[in-house]
Amino acid sequence: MLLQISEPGQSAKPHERKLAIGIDLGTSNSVVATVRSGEPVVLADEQDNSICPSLVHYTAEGGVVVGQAASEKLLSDPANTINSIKRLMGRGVEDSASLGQSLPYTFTEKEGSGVPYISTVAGEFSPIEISSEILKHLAALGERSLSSGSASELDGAVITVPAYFDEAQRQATKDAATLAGLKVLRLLNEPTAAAVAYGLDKQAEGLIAVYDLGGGTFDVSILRLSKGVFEVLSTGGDSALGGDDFDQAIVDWVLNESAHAKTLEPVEQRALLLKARDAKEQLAGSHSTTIEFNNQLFELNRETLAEVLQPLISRSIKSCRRALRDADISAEDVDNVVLVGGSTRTLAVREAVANLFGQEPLSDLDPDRVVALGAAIQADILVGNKPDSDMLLLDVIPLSLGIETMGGLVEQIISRNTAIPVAKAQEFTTFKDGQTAMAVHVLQGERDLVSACRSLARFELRGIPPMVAGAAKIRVVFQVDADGLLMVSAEELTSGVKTSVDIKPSYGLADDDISRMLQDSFSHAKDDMKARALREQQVEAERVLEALVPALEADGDLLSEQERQTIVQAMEALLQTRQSAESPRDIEAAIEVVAQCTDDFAARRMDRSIKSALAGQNLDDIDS
Amino acid sequence: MDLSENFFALYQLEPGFEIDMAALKSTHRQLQMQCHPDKFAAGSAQEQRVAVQAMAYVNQAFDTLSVNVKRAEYLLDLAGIESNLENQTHQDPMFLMQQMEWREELAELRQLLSRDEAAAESKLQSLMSNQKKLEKQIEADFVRLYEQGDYPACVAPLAKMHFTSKFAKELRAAEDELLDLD
Repeated sequence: MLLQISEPGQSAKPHERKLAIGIDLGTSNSVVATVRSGEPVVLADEQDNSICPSLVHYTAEGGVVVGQAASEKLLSDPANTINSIKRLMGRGVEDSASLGQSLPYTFTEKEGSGVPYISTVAGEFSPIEISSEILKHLAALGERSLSSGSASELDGAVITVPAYFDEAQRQATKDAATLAGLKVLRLLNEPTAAAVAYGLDKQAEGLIAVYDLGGGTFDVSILRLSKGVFEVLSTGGDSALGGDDFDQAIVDWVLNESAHAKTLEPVEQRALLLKARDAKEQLAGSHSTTIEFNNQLFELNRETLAEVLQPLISRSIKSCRRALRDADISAEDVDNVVLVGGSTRTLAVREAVANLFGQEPLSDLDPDRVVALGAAIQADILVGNKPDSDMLLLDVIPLSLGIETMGGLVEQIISRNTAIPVAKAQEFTTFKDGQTAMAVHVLQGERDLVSACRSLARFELRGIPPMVAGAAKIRVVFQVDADGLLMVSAEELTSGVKTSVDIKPSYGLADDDISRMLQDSFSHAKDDMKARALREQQVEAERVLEALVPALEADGDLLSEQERQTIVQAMEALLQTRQSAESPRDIEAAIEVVAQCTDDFAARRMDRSIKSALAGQNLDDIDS
Repeated sequence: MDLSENFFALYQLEPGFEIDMAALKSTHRQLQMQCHPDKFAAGSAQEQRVAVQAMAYVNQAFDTLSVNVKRAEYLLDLAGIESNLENQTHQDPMFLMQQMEWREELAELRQLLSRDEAAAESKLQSLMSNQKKLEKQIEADFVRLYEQGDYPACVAPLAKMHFTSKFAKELRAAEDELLDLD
């Protein structure tokens, strides 16, 4: 009777190739790639552009233009053409105010949200909404090139983030993807993706340093590879250092040389920045070039450029030293150095890196595409197109997580560079008689003072049974998943009451905001939204059933006959609901029923798979 | 999650302070391959949830077993000894003296950081080597008492281990500052 589950038309055929893309969502440029006939390839739009400027232009009619087409508006309409939005992802209003000084946008704050909104002619938008426009654009590009004519949906995407991104920034990126309608298979660190693109996973083992100097962020990561397992040993960097700063440094140099007043009109500023960028790019190939400003010509050669950039480059080298130290290795131990990001085309950067590591860095692949290529390879594996792959990318948490204690101090709960996923429990108690609620403030950063760390979330534990002060034992579990995202659950131990946890992300969006934005984006087509929600639940129902059928076959002996009956009934009910339900909530409820009666079974299966894997290992040991 | 009754059993190791690090790491690889959520990325939400929990448990076990002071604490935990470390070190006046001496030297080192880089470097090196020496001694004490089965007496060296590992962290922080001076 369960056979019908795998009949055609009801669920994916087991060997059907799934459509997966890798997206490098960059500060200045974004790239989408996929694996085709076993090879990773970058996807191009109709005009054959494979590098999409991370630009979003809003028109007075409420339209949205993304990428190359928006770049023409950069000079003519800067206030409505959003550039480098990645810098504002997961940032608060205050950060944005300081970053925003050099930006030509008008920021507004929506009451109580803490999230900066950018005012445009088409309305006010959060960084998450703006980023999701770029992701939608890239996903559509991916769908068009992959579906070969017939309408087809993407099965999933891997989206890359700087290894240095904190929880709020990762969450913002994932929210943007959700808003764009993508199933995120994984948020992958950019440097790890680059190492994968170079096929370094095919080596038996080694230490790899990835130096990634993009438009707006600098990351260095030390990875260890052994038998297909990539492990991030340490990460470091600077989320406000990149090619944009190089351009700005060149602009400052020109202004200094010309003794011009330091303040430029936004339009002038943009024009000079573009010239500075051109000059920088030319110097990657030639020895000297000129910049025209205020009817004057300024000659810039490689030596001068190296001097101008020296303070910025040395900041990056310092981060490299620290990352090496955190990984407990020295520069000579590194087997491969990978260059990522357009700014590594600058000769002075290459020289500084080669000098530090005592070897020429790898640079055969285009540094602007390498991250997307690696993301595509990982997406192909995660979506299930390569079931035999034993590649595994392990990650660490880039910044320590802690909570606020008395006196504005932070107590670390999960320290930097801890392997994720991870779960840590912390016990709290009440300090007043009859206290029934308490506030918890979660922070991320390395400093002892609350004011020096990033506020991630505040939540209240409610429903604590009234007791004398200090008698309640509240166990709060902080769980960080493989994407570096935090979940919190809480329980009062003496009474067993599960207290409600109400997380208010300090710089992110609450679930309500996301669903409101989803509604907004579908405001003219309510049916579309409902159809999409229904489709999502149908797909999830398929996943649940597809996973359970072989599970029951392989490990059915772990269940009593009665347990088995219950599960089979729930599965049949889900199958029925999946086909007939018109409301996504009905399917969701049926999935929940299946999940509840199979939770134990899933845990028992995991237990068994671990034990049998270890037993296999022991046999191997005896053989060898 | 009922993966195993204790971390040593999960990693198929005999409970004890001295463990085979290579075996620990190679078993850890096996466990990662088995339960990392990426292995279930295309699966249902439930499969992913179970994998995240299993992997978090395994990572916690690995972290506990691979760090000396955590492993020692866990051993006492298994032996039913509550290692409430408050006031423990105060029972050993010699060790208390040692702590105060080191604190002073650390304070001196901090002052040197801004004045004399080379002197700071050499002071840091000597403090680091002393710290390592003392750590080895304390660990040997712990092992001796643990193997005699005198678990309550193990609490004292454990408390000292906590101090030396905390001190090592502070030395690393000072090293951090030195690196920043370059």
